[in-house]
Amino acid sequence: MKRDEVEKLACKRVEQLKVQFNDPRYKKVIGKFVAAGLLEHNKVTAYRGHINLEETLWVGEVEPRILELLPAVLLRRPKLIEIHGEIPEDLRLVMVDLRKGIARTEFRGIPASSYQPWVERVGRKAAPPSVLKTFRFQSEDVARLKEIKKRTGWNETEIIRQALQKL
Amino acid sequence: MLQEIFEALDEWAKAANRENLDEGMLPLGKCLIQVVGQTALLEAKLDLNLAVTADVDVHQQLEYTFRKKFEELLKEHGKFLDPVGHEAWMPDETKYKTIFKGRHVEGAIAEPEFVLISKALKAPKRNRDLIAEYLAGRPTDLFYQLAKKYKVPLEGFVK
Repeated sequence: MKRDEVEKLACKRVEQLKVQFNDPRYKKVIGKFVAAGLLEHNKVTAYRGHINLEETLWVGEVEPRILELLPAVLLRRPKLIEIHGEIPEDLRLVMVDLRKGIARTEFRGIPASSYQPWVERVGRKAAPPSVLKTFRFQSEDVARLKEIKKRTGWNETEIIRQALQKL
Repeated sequence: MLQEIFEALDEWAKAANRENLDEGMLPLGKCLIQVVGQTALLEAKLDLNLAVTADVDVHQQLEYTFRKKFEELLKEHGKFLDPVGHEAWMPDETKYKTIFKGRHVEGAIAEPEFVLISKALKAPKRNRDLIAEYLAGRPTDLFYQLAKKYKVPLEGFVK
């Protein structure tokens, strides 16, 4: 296909897209995700009103990044989206898998590898607790630690963590 | 946003370097940060509908000290460094536009044509509408050359 033809068809496609971009559901849902700090958008401003799951799923078909974030949002920040009625079966199954930490199923075209990482990133889940350990070092080890600490600006735990990663 | 972060990172590196020199330690090196992906498109201020998640993709693995500080600065802006961002495919000939150059830090964004070809080739379904919008705005010759070279079927985005 020639350039002119591609561009002509693209213009037609964009006319269809404009209808979707101007739909109030698009502005509300994207705006809500922007307000929640989950998305940045160059043409939609933050919206602090209510959105529901049905309209969120509709917008997800226009902007797949919404579908990428949705399972994690429902798990970690459920108050963000109102749910009237049943959660669609495919979404419910994805959430069950995510709770078990074994997501494998594609969700409406979004692979598990794209939506699963957001569970850790969205919401309240804290880092795993650190564990206190005590060591007895020789004086030359202590001097070495002190020298690395000065040079790198890391604390002693970080120095040992780095050394462990290299072994 | 990126420019501000690069500037803060450079200021931090200058201060850390002064301390190192005062204490007779080795000076900090230089750090090149090349941002790719959706963040690079947003920074390029294209007239496209761009939704960007909080992850920032950087083309190379950064030296530990710089990476830690960069992550900290991104976090202050509600962003984070994608741990596998450097694995994202970009064309070999990708050109970057420098948006900040300090004493220690140089920050750049990939030129839009290269980012969009990467998206069109590696995630066509996810970026179908984005590519269609870009095509409607009369893309550059460079974009068509890249599409030809990497065998990207552009008609698939507009039908």
